Amino acid sequence: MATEVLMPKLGATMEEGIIVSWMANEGDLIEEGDPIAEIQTDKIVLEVEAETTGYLLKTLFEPGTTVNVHEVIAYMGDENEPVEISSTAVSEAPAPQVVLENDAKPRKTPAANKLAKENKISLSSIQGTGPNNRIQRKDVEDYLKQQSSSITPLAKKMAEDLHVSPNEITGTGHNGKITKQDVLASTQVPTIVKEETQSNVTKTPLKGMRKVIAERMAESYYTAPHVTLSVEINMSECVALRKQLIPIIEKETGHRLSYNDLMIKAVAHTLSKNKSLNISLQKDEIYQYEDVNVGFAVALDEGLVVPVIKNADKIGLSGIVNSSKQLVSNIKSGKLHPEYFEQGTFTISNLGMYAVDTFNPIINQPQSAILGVGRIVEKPVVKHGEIAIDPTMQLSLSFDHRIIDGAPAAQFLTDLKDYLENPMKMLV
Amino acid sequence: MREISYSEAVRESMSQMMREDEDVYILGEDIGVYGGAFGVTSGMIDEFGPERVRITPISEAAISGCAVGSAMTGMRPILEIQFSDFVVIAMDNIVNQAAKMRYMFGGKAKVPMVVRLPSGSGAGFAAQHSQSLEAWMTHIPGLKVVQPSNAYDAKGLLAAAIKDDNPVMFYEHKMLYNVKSEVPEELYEIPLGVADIKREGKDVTIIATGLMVNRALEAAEQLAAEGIDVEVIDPRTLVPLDEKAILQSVKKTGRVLVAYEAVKRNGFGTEIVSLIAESDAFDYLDAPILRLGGAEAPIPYNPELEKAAIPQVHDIYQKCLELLNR
Repeated sequence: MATEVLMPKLGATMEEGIIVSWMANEGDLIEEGDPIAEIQTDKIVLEVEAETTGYLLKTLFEPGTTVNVHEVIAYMGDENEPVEISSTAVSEAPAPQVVLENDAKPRKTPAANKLAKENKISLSSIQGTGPNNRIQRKDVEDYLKQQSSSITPLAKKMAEDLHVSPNEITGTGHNGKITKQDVLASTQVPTIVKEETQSNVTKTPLKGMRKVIAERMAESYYTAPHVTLSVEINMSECVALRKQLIPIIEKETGHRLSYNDLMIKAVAHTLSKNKSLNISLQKDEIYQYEDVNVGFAVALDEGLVVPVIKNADKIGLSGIVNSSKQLVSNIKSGKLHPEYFEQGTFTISNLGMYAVDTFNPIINQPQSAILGVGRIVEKPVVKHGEIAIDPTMQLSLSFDHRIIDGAPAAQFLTDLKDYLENPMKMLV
Repeated sequence: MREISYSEAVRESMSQMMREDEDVYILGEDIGVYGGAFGVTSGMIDEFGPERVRITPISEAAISGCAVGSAMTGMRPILEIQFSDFVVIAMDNIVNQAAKMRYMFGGKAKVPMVVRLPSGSGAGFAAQHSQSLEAWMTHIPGLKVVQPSNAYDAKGLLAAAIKDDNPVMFYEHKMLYNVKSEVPEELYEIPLGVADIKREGKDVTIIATGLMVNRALEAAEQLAAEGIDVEVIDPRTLVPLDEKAILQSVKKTGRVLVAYEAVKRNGFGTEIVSLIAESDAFDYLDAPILRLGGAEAPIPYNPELEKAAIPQVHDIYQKCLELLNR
């Protein structure tokens, strides 16, 4: 019997994935472990590998299609084996909980069904409010009403910011809904025309990791009101401490202790004392996290990823060094496992290796704060009424002002400065 | 307009028809000087005499046999079964004779008779005198089944039943006999097979029969106070059934409660639910169709238990809220 290839669930929050491309053609022999397709989640792009050796019999979706997790995307089996496509997406799904999710057809009343059909909308996009989540006529009516408003909340806000009337924008989303792309397109028409007249321009379609980054950055920037606080840190104590620790940690882990590792430690320590920044706004709920999971931005040729060190406040410096070096080396060699990037509660973006003193980082949603780290530079500083030359560094903390007020953010930065200037305090 | 009671309306309809048509006569137990078990025929013997108000022995088989025979010879008998429960003794004459003759003789014979059947519970008459067996009759092709819920309907429907050339089972509810409503003095007919919208609404449809129509209206009043707009449909005749009126209302509201006093299991409401489920009104349903019927138990003698055995106003009220997820 043909084997089903399912859309993998690559993380607790993943509901659907986009098939970026098929990496084999129908009829190809595929060895176990060979890639079949490229899948894009809301975080990264990665490959679906064959679980057994066999022939790729049938692919069910065109590239670019969004598919729910655990839905069949392809069939594998013996050469020229006939394929029976089951209408229910799931037959032998791995987890029982998943079978329930996908097996349960949406409950709907005949009236809801009729109205949906008349308006050519899919009931799968409607949340039922009746008993057992049954979709009722009112749910469909509400959905239609919302559709007829015909602009996403984000697009609406962007349109307001850009002083564009939604009436002048053509929607390209579902049922002609205006999306943020439409708003942007409407404002950029002259630019595009200008570009087309230039000859030496290379055009690349926005896709893959770049597309994910583009969407997430825009969404964060347009939905979360950013406020950025800056502080200068005297790094002399940190520089001295690092010098002392380098040989000790190198002996234990085989890796050199970097300023980035020190920043992760200091941030984790400060965050564990300032849990009011360890939160997230998702839909209408504020999530308060107990675990302090610190992510740090890593630049790649094709973009940017943020691996996460979980419970960074509870592990020692050598633990942090080990984890961060392991993560970076795996990522640079192309192993982008989704669990590397999950459950982060705070992000550090370090541009200290460049000639950058300070910058305003954009929050890595759904987190609520991000720390931008500048270079360490020797500067004249005033100490005890005298001018001295000390290594200094600029930190800038951007936070989501919807759920974090200025005072707790300022307190966080003050505490962080204190720990970095007196790193011994972290031992207490 | 003047108000008269349900029993007066039934008597008036019979008397007016008897004045109009000499072939119409009534027969039954104690219907003469005594005026029948519920006094419906009281005084009629004074006007029409013992020839046309025939007092019979205590034998439903004899009464019904007599009626079928005389109807076939051209008379229009109205027989009173003292309690509708006793109709089972007359079953052979009604089911195998009255209902079949017109068909079996190719229309050459007809059986224009009306069987009046005081039915229902609520008066403390216990298990053998309180049943609602109308669903039995609706199962028999050849019988028409009428169930008026107020005096106005009773008078008009009875006149139409008497004029009908087929056997008509006419269910009167004991608890409605004393209920008054506006009834015109002159004779009028309400055609069999035409439902009545007793109350217009848009949120929920209650299809109720007999006594339950009155309870549904009371419940609708209470629900209106909570902003729920209830439509109450009274089919008035179960056979023939006004399917169109029922389905129209279902399409309008999308939520249906069927309320009847007979035992819920296989009561006539079950047929109404099936009708809706099979029809194109199905597509308009926005909640499962609900039924309220009598308990699956003989009607108890204890008054409290008797009440518990059949749907009350509060039950109807609750079911409507359930239909609206409230």
